[in-house]
Amino acid sequence: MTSTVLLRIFLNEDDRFGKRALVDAIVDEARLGGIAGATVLKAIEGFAGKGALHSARVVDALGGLPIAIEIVDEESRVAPLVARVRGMMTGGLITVEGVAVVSRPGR
Amino acid sequence: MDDFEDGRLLRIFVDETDRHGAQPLYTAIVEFLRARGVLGAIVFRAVEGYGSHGLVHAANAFAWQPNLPILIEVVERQAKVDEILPALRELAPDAFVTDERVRFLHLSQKKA
Repeated sequence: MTSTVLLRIFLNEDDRFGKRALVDAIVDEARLGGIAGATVLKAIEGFAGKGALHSARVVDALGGLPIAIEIVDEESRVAPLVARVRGMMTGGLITVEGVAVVSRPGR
Repeated sequence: MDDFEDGRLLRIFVDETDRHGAQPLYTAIVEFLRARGVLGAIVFRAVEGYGSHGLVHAANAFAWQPNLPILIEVVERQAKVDEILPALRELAPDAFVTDERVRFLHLSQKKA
């Protein structure tokens, strides 16, 4: 039996990957990697380590707000994505946890 | 993902209008977490919800000042969570808090 995982990637909306927004680059990377789906949530405040993910309170001074990308798929597909994504990030956090899928499209 | 560390994810549910002294409670919680050197925290403002007071809070055109649910998520190593939990409970005695196991990778800040 393969295991399904919830992958969550925490970054800032102003983070760049080359000329693109990092969040868009990661979502594209997931899509092209055949990942079942990704959901992007915008936060109002946050931090990771010593680096700020920033706050709505200081958004004008410091730039963008924190973003969480949530991805659910088989661990065998998520692991190669993580290997690529971590090389695209210069800060932030990635978490992974086991989940049970109880309903999905087409079932 | 073999080098991911074992950690915990706390999810703290409060109301946007909850106060801690002069500041919003969620701001006080984030500042507490940062001061304790916690690895990461992120704050989401929900669009609707209900909790301990049994009142539905929703963003709609008729509420001149909606009191929306706030979700704070915290990622930290196992031992450190045990260390901060008592002070967190003291800071936010009425908050609903869940605790789950995750594996995590903390990316060090490099020059972008």
